[in-house]
Amino acid sequence: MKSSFNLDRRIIYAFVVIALAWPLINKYTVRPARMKSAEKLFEVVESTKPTPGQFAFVAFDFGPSTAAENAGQARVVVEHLMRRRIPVVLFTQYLLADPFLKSIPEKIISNLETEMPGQKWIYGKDWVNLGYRPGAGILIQSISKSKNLAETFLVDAYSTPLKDLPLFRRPTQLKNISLLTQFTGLVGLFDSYVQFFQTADYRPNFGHGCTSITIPEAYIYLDSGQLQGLLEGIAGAAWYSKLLSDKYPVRKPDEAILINTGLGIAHLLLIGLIILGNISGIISRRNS
Amino acid sequence: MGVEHATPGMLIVMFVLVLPLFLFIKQARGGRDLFVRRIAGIDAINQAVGRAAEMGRSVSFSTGLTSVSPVLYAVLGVLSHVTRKCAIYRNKLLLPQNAPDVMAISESVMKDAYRIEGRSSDFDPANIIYLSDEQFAYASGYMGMVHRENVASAFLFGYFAAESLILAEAGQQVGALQVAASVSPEQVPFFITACDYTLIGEELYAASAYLTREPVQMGSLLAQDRAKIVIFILIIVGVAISTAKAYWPEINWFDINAWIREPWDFNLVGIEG
Amino acid sequence: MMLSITWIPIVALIAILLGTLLVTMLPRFFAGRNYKQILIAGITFLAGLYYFLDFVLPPKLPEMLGGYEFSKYHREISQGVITVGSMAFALGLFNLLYVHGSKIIFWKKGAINSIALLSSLFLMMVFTSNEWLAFEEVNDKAERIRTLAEFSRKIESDVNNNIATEKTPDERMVLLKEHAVIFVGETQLRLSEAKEDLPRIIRDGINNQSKEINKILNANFKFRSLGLLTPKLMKLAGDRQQLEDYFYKKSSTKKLYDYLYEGLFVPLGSAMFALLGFYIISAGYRAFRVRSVESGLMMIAAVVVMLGQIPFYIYISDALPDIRLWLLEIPSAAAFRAIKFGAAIAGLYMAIRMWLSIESSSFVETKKPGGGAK
Repeated sequence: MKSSFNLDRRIIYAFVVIALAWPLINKYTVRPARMKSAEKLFEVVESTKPTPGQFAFVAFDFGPSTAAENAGQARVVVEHLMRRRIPVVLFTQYLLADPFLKSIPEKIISNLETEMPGQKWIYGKDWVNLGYRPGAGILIQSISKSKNLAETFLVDAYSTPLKDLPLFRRPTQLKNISLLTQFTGLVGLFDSYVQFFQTADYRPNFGHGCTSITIPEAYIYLDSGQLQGLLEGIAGAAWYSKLLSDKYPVRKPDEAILINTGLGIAHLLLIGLIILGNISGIISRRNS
Repeated sequence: MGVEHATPGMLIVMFVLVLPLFLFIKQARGGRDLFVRRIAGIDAINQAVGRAAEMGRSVSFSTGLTSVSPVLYAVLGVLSHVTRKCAIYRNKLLLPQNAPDVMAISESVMKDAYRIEGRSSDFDPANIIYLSDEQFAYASGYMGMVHRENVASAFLFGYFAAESLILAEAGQQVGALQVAASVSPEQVPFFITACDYTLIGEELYAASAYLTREPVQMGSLLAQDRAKIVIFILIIVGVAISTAKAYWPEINWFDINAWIREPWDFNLVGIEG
Repeated sequence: MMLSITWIPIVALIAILLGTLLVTMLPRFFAGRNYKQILIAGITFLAGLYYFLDFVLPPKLPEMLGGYEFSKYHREISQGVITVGSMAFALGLFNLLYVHGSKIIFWKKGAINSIALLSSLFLMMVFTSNEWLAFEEVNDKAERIRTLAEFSRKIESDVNNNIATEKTPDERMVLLKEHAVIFVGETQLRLSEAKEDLPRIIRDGINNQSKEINKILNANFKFRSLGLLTPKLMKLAGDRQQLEDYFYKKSSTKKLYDYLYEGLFVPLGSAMFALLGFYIISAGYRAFRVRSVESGLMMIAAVVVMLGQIPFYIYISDALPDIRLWLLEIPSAAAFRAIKFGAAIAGLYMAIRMWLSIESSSFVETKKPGGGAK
């Protein structure tokens, strides 16, 4: 049935470009929508105490393609962990994430040290970069069963023996990981963490940052208690960023809220186009 | 807490779930006639290949990001069927690949299919194209291939992630008849929007059995349904007990979760109060 | 009241069933297969058996069964599996060379695209290899100092534990001092090549460590000084790593690699993902039509979920995020769970069939298939 008003897809693409570009160019931001799942993760990080011998294990399993969402999530959570002085161990099972393991924490540390002169975040003590490790589920099982993580990983991303780093000087196991956070657009890796990153008597708190496409799947695990917090795409990162800014008012705002605003306008455009398409469908059905 | 090793409860549940597999395979091999309901998407496979033959255009079969896994084996059953049809109609069948190890297995399956139909000379290994193991580089290569070859029918079977809509839209833009099957439920909406037929979840596993009617696959398909009944019963019982606990908390109800998680007890005495 | 489950009847039952299966299946298994297929099936079974037993057996068997810890070598076995799996990388490369090489050689349709692909491939391989070699060189320079620190630690440990070595402790101390002087001198020389933009912390770190190491070496360098020397050498190794990293970042190798990777590859990947946004909106306009009650309900749910997660919901209703949450947590999660249960069981059965090699020997049956469903 021919529609009486059929927009060419190139015109639709032009509208999308305008809808996304305008807020980015004009730096127009709006308070993000409240995300309870992001609040849960915020509370989990807040309740995690910086205990000697304990650290957070952060997996950056995303590449440049999903960096728009996942990198924003990673930035806010790693910043929160570093502000609370919880040591962070970074790691990835996705090769293309390797550059982010260095660039994101270094940028965060640079901002924090500018904001709080006199305070330092020292590599080896406050954060460690383990780099890219292949192996998927098999590697995650090895981490869970390991009696000493320094012997499982041996060296960090810069080939420094882990036993020479202050964080790994004493034997560390899964029990020393107080919080696991994983940021990914790939479902397979996330399932492996849910399945294998645990022992019979211990499972660390698990926070997950996903792309918008995999939100419904992640909710299954949030509901069953296997996840303690969830960042739903850039909207989750934006709400988390807002919570951070509320707690630390001198904090420099990041891009998450800006990108989220553009996304909101694009959503409104989509709803408008759907309504337009249905109206034109009704009109053409009446005419015929 | 987590589960690192099986508990006795889990072993019992595993046994109950796995037993139907062997029983139904035995029955299927024994010649029992097993009913499988009609699935529109699977019927459309033959229609799609025929359409490509009439139009004189190619067929493409994408396995997406599938690695060597049970999903791949399910997909290969469909691939062999499609290849045999293409061999009969002398259609060009393109197989863009994401993983090198999957490529080697797929090539072997295709070659076998051409051989069975007596068209070994028509098999061209250059039609199996390794694009990239990087998700969006693969999507980009697939788009280019589909547009250049102007495929008439496209099959998207396997594990797909965010690139699913890009692949489906590429086929949609050249007017291809598309049949998609994904085990990832979150990709299903994209396929439903852009493809003509979509198989959801385990229908992908059913497709191979439906097409080949091979006893092992047929028996396995029916066993899956019986195993789901076991899970269904467990859910009903679990919900009933949880509801009863909420209303009558003073009664010591049987805790399925605790029973399944109870670890090995090497005590030789049977029952303890 | 909790039942305490004994393990003997359970294990016995499972062993009997597995044994029965094997006995009934083995003749059928061997029938119609050649030695290659039997060998492959056997290796598949044994490999799967390890992981099956690793899951099924308790962490440690009881003493009366030997007290064996089955997962003792899990790390080594897992690393072996990962190594074998990574060997497949060459297959893709051969395919690219074969398909596109033949297009170029025989000048088939699309040869220009093939030239572009292969030249990009080789260019990226060259730059990536160079970058990797340069990075290894950076690590090597620091590794030498780290090795020296390990040597210092070893001398101390051997003397404390009375372990006899080829050279005497004094000879080893002399070697240690010689190399320490050389490495400290090299590091100072390298530091002098750095410009003003070298971070102060690295410059000061190297200077301080060098001064202190020289102080230890120039004073009465005895065995007891090793306890002080080892951590200083380790620290110097870390500082040298950072210094080399500084030079490496300024090198043309790194800049070219960054130009290709961060300048080209990363934006291309992001652009492809960004296409999704355009496609979703055009697909939504094209395909989201309300034609029935069910599609109308779906449309309402979709609009509510979209509005509930954007900042502008406040202009419509404050309840939208809560409704969205309910939709995602209850009906959507239930549907997803149902699909996942089905797919998981199907995957489990397929995995068992693969493990026991009870798939048909080829995916292509020898007789033609029948019709469709009844």
